[in-house]
Amino acid sequence: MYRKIIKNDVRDSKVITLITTLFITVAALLVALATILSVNLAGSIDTLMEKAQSPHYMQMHTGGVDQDRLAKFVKANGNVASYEVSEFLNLNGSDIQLGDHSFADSVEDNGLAVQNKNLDYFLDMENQPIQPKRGELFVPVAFKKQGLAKIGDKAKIAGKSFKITGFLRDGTMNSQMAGSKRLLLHQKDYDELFSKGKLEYIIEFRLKDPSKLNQFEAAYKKAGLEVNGPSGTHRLFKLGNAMSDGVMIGILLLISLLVVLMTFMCIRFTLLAKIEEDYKEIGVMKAIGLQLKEIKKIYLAKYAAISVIGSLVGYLMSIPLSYLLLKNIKLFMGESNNEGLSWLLAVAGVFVVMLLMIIYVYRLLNRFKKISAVEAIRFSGANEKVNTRTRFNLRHLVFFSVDTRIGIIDIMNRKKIYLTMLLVFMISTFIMIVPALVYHTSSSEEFVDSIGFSRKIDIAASLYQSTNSVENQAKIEDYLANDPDVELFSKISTKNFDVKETGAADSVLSVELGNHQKFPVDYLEGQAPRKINEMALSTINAEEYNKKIGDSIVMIREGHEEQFIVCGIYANLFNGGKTAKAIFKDTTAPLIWTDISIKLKDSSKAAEKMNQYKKDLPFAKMNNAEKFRDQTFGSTIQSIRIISIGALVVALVITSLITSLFMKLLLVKDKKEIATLKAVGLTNQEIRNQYLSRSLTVLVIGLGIGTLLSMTLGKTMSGLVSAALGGVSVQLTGSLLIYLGCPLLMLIVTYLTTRIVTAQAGKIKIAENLKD
Amino acid sequence: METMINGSNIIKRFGVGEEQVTVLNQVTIQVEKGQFVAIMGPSGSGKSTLLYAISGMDQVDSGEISFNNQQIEQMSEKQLADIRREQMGFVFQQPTLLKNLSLIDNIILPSLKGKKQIAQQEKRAESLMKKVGIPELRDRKITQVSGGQLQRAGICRALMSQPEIIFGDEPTGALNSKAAQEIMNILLKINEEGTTVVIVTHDAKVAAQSEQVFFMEDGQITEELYLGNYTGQNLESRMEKINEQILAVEI
Repeated sequence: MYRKIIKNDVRDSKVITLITTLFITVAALLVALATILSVNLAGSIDTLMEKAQSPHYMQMHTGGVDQDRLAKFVKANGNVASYEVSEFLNLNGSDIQLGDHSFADSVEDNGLAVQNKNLDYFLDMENQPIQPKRGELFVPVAFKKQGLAKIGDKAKIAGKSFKITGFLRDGTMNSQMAGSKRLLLHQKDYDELFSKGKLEYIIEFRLKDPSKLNQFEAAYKKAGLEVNGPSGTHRLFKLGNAMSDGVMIGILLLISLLVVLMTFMCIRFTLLAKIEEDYKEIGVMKAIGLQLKEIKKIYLAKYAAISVIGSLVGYLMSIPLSYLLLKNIKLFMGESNNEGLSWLLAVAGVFVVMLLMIIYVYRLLNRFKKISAVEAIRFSGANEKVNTRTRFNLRHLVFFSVDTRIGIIDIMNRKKIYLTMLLVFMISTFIMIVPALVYHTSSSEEFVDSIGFSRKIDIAASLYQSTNSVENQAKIEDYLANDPDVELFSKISTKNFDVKETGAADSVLSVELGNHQKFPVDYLEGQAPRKINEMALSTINAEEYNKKIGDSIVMIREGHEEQFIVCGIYANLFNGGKTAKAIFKDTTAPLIWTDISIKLKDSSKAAEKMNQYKKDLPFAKMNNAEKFRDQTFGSTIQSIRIISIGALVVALVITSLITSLFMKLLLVKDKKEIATLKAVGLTNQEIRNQYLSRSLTVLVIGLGIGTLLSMTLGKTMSGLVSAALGGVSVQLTGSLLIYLGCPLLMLIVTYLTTRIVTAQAGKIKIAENLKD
Repeated sequence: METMINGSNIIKRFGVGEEQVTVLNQVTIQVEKGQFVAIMGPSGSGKSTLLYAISGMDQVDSGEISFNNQQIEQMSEKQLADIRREQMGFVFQQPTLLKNLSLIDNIILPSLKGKKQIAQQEKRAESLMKKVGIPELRDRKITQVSGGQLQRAGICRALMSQPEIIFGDEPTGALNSKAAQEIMNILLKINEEGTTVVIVTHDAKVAAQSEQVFFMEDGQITEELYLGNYTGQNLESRMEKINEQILAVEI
């Protein structure tokens, strides 16, 4: 019997059933996809980092390494499970040629390395440590994605020929955000090329108790060991690996949650409309003695059927799609060891959503209790509650057309119905605008400001310990002061100081000293230090020391305690995210490195000037800022772009589906009124205009609130996500194009959909609906 | 006399195939200007279908219908809508007013088109409401008034554009006898002022107050009865004539 009832019902309301099923399908698809992707991403990262034995703490260092001192430190520390001093032979870009591609323009540090012995292994595509033979070269998997190399290509490294034998996964430098890339070769080939490059050491540690990483880091810095270069932690490597796919999955999760929410609203609306339509039948069923439970079952049957079908189709669709989206994760990090679990969890997720929908329908059906058999049969239609106190009438709002006025009055009187529509429009706007804002922010010039890198910088020159002499600094400063192409330059020296704070024993703070206003970064709170007793902290440091603006922080300088006031907090994705900025002069603390930021009068000359500086100032390391930004964030921005376009399409499709669903249901509900309007002489066009004014008015309100929400809640939410990802929170920025373009697209879609659907109003027959 | 509605050989069928039913079978009817006409007949005889057909609210399968010498079946949707708005008025058995609007808004709605001043329309609506005895209900919602009051408001709406003809589909059908007579009195008064009235009814008392009665059975007009203008007198004898006719049809 149920099958027959469902069949009849589907036949009578094909479009409505189809749209509801579609919603459930999309919801199931997104839930399954988000689950599969997030579980796999987490699994793949863990597998990669476990197989590669990625270090918990890593310190790059230029200059000699005192191996004995290091061994003593390791022994004394007690928390070191294993450690390794691996070599990284930094080559000039022009010395690297893979196939036809020369790395002369590369801003990344590309260098050579051999397989490690204790940790941080280079892995092949099966996540097994690679042991290259002579003449073989393994290159980072990112080169495959970027199309820079193919297996079998010939390679020329500093004049020596190699064959690219395979791609490698590098647990610490895999991500495109890592500024260095390591190429793997045989020890003997390495030895042969040793004289061609600049040697850097990577001092790496795996800890017995990784939760005590902070103490270890402080102990390392305090022990006066090698610190001449950037450092990194397990968390940062993980973040780097998760970044581009993580952002995509985060947005996908958000969208799937919202689509599930909309599906519930959609079910609620269609079901209530159906109950209203069947009011009399329900009354009759009650009158002939059917139990409430039995009547409920009849209605539940249809929704249970479409929930099961929609969920199944959605889940099945997620399988090929997830393979497509998992490709990037698998390429960079390999198989996750919980792929099976991810499928299982996806099934569970979809099942939970399906179950919730059925329970929700069952609860909605409790309304049957309120239907009195006698009333239902006598009055044939549910007495829809009409707000009798509305202040609007046809004689108000005369600047609108009569049709618009009727539309607005209807909205004011049946707020409940339109509220659902409004919520859906709001959510669609949100889904559309937030990813667009994330894309706009991350692709904007200002973005680097907000992650701790001033966008004013065209070229950054760095001096590390061995070359970081006062003479060299003066040489650069003199040179730049006399270069007519330079508009501005500023020197920042990084020094380590002990911090005296309760709860942060033995901690060392890397402080960047110099003028921080010439090349400003964005401050999440407060501002750059202007007085000698002021200090700005990176978000990770502010969190670690639990400091807010106005708090004081005590450092030891020249053996004395000195108090600084926290004046600003900024996000920083560089140098492990743990930095501070101050302006005081210091001559005693050891200098870690010096950065000289340069702004040219004509930024387009950056590449040309870089080459000149490299030649004239060979002791300094030069970075082209723009290329650095492109190579560092390019792929992340690319995935955000894809997601924003996807979100835009999803939002527009949802808007169109919901508009057609609502309009169709309204037409069914209002059949009699439409017939009346026709009978008294209104044309089909006038009636369609009334419905257009309803959908567009609700849309405009939805767009307004949705945009406001995106500007406030959306910003907070994405801030939370990025903070969760890496202690970095970024202020979202928008553009007029987003705030006007997105709503305009929704307006066009809603307008067209309403026009198409309301064409049906013309088919409503007066006689059929008014004849008693 | 001038013919306002001229319907000839009207055929209207419902359904398809074996289930097809002919509801109007070669019906021919004429309504003269200024007449008060009633169409009577048992349930399913096709009287309401005929009313909807001659008023252009329903399409017929064949036959010709003219209104003021214009062929209705040849008119576009817009032309028909214009005629309904400007020249015709409709009163239905069940109140067909919009739930969202107050009584006065419901009344002025069809006339709010083009450059007509809303204040002027409001004034006319108020005077019509006064005429039918519901001036105090102007701002009430339709859920706040009785069935009889709603029907009066429906008549006001039908009269807003000063139509040439009023169609009524059992306009008194859902009312008690007192309210029904009050509505009839209003319709008679409108007719007296020159508006043609065509109503469908199964109530002999209502039909007895009309000038001419068409009797329908099985989709055909079986009899016509000319009673002449009702002056408020001899209702009993007019009813008797109608009842005789009904009895004759039934036998």
